[in-house]
Amino acid sequence: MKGNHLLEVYNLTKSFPRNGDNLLVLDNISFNLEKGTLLSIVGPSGCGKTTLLEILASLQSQTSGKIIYHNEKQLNSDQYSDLKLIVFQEYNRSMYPFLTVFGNIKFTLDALPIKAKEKNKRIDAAISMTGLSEFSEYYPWELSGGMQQRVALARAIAARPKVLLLDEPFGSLDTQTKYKLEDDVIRLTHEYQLATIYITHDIDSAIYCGQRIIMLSKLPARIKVNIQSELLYPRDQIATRNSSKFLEYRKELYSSLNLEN
Amino acid sequence: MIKLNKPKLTPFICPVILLIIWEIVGQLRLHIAPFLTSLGYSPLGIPDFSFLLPISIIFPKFFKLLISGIILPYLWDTTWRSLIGFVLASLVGVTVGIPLGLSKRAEELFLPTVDAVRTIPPVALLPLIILFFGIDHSMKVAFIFVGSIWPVLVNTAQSVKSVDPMYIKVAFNSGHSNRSTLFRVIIPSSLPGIFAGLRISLSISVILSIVSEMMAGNTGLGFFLNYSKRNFDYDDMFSAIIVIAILGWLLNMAIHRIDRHVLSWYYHSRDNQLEYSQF
Repeated sequence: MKGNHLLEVYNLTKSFPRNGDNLLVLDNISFNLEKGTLLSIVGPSGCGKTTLLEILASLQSQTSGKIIYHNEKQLNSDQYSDLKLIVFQEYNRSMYPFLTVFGNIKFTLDALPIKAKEKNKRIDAAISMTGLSEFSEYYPWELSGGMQQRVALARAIAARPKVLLLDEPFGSLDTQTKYKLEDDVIRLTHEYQLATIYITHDIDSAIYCGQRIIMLSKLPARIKVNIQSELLYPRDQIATRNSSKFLEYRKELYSSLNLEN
Repeated sequence: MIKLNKPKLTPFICPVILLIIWEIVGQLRLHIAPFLTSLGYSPLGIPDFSFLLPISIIFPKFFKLLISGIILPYLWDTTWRSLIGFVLASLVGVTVGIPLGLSKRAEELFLPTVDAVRTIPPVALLPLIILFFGIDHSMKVAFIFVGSIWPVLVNTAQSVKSVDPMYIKVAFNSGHSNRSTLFRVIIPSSLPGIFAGLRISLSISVILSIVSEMMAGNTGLGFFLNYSKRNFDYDDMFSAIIVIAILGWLLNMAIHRIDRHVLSWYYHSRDNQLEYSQF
């Protein structure tokens, strides 16, 4: 198992200077991640989850600690990129209003060294996989929130990132759309052998999606619970959520949540 | 995509009312003033406003000037001069405005100076410009340039500065370089603000073109205007004023069309959001 790790994080710490003092945000976070697996990270709002993602995506730097990305032996070298792509929480702000759905997805691929033909193939595949075929020439602002979130997902998937980082992607969606997209994320993670980190404050959703579930504490974020899920894939929104294992994890996570107050 | 709507009457209501008032005042002046004068009555000692011609006298002259082509060289002069000044001001304004909006340090370094210099009325700089360029065409273009560069420059800097940081984050996260992010994200999303600046600069360039023509030389509508006034050809003077108004309206419409075309995504997204609002 150890040899398969794609990402290893050791003792990650982040603090921000604030009013002459240091505000500790991430405290000694360590975990690892394999290819084709989905890691859920739950934690209360404002506990530094987004900061963690941005550090993993190299958009911010850590104060101390180590992040190691292993280069995988790949079947086809141009199949996967080195990108650590974030699907941002604010989907309506992360989409370019002057580009169509197609253009937005293409934009993400344009920085990659892939040929135009392959590019179009990937865009089309990502668009049809996320059920956006009829909307590829639409502008993002012509779409509903759920649809926009799918574009964000399609955009990330088309790039075949090394790590897919989802920052509360379903926060403002209705339950039906959310369930559908959860299943999509699980399916795509397996289909494309992505390493996905799914950040949420929704405990049920975290258990449903994750192969491993990490719970963070309030600020400064520490790992409080680390569960290796025994729930089997494929998962089912009704059966899985009512299984005894699911309820057991749920109980464990909720009770550790209450301990804090 | 430009939609050519059926011509609407609404835009003509205001001009027509203005012309009617103008005609009434002109006719009153024409008939009442001589009558009062003939009675030996000079109201409040005010001169008889003989230049205040009714529109029915000006219009035939206006059409005559257009059809005979007498005014066209003047119109052409003003137009190209404004456009050259405007294009130069836009090019420099946008190229300088972008780095000013991108870099905090550049802003700190230059913006206070920009704010001070742009407050100087262009006319106050005219003597200096004449000393530099003499009184030929280049002086006038320089004058237009100096006066009309500020709206583009300041608007460009402001819109570049206020691009949503999320847009930039997304671009960097997908591996785009600084350069690619600038040209593919920052500039396109600043275009609505840049265009707002361009429209103001265009109007200013026409105004300054006419001012410069009134100051020196014998070309352009500004000269024509001054010349007619000096020769007491008030019908010519008013005709030139009308031509200037029409020129301003046409240029503004042209840039509005380009704006709507280039930024169709912007106006549509805005209309989309406003669809349910009362306004």
